[in-house]
Amino acid sequence: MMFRANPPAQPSTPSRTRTTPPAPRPARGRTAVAELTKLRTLPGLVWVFAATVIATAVSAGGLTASSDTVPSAAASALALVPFVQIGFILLGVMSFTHEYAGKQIYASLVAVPQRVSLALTKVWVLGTVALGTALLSLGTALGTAALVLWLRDGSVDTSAAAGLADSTWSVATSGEWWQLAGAACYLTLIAVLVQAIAMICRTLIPSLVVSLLLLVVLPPLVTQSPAIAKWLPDQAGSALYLPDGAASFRPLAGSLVLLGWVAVLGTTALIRFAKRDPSDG
Amino acid sequence: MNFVRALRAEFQKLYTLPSVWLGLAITIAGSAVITWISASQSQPPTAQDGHYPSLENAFTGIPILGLAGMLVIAILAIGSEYAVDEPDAGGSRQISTTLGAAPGRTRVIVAKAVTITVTTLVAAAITIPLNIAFAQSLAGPGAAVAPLDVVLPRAIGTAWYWLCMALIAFAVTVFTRSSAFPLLFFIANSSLVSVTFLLTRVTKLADWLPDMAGRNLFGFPPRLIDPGGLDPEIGWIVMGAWAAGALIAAAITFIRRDA
Repeated sequence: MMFRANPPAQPSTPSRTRTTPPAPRPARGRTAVAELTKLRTLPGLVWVFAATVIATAVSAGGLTASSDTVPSAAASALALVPFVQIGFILLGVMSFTHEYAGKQIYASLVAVPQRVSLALTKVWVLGTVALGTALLSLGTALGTAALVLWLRDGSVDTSAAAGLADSTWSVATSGEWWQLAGAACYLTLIAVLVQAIAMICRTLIPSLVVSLLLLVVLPPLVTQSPAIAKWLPDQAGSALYLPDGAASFRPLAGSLVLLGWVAVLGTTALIRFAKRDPSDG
Repeated sequence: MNFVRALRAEFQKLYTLPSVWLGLAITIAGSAVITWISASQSQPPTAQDGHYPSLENAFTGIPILGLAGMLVIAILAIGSEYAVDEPDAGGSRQISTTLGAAPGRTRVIVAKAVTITVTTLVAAAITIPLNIAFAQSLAGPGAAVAPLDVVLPRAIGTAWYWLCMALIAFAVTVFTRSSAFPLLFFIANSSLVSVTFLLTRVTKLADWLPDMAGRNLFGFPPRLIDPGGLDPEIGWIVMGAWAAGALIAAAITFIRRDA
């Protein structure tokens, strides 16, 4: 016979030796758009955003109107930061726990199998949303407070040297502009920190309870022990928006401590998100 | 289904929720940590104007952290019934099963209230004496020991405060049918970010709100707190009345409303 009976055997069964090709990586921009869409279409989150902005603006107006000694519109806005942070705690918690409220996390991981990249996209999308919310809240608060002062006192002094002019109030002194910028950074970092806590706890209730304890309940209880209290994230971070000398740290050191919290909890969260099965409690 | 079986079911449901153990840990362990932190500050070993440093150390953490833990438990006792289950498990809510198994709704809500009451009182009976003893042992042998007639009203007042607030939070969660908002409001409001406390600055009527009415039940020495508020004797009654009213309103809603 001139022809071969059988063609040479295939090297082996292809399915066993072939290495699985890496899962296609979606372009970063598309992941970010997807994450933003998830946040935008989460009804609770939109309510939190609206409620935070409106409540800050109304409270700033009320606070300014109820006191005769408010020196500037910025002072009212800055005094509200500890209250406003509740909204950012909610933003941080909800931005992540909705994935685990049903089975959405599986769809997300199928679409973007690169878990670290997915988690980091979530972080910076939330950070951007939080920064926007902070700027809008503080901005409207500043506007409302300024409006109240203007209606009451009549004249506006836009110069930095408020005390030298004959007007008795200003929108913000030059120092206060920095404090307002610090407040926006602080609120954004709090949202990101809480998102890390949510990434560790995964479901809504434990994440909310742990975040509230760490940021709201615990600080007043340990004020008697400044050596411990000053290292808590909100106390250290308060250096960003309090006037010079009012916080335990200088602004740079305080923000570094807060960033340290974000780094430690964030790394833990990333490792948990990347290594653990999504169905682990 | 008789009441005892309904009660047993409620206990079983409550103590198989992971976050309930988180709540108990906050109350019992959290308070102890705060007691330890407070005791680490140097203090005079003797009593000053009728107040005892070691007792104050114990009472730094107990009122607020203990309350936070009890609020978590009370809110979850009913909030978890309304949480939507995973789609794989039918996407249903536990309340359907509960009411299918125990159609007598009065019995269900009374059993839930009893579950919360027992849990709160047991947690108080563990946390408060334990922290007082812990603070005393940390203060060392030379420290002044507060007599029982000083300790007892504060301990019982604190337990009453927890119980009333837990039942009020439970009632509010019956109305909202979800845990997140009541948790956020009640825990945040029990700390420095207190809306009700700010309201007392605006109007004296706010002193009669449940949490403000009871704020002198903890028996803090006047130099440590903002003055004002109702006397503890009146506070007891006002808080109890709020809790009873809230429970009755919640029960009527729960019995009449489509689940």
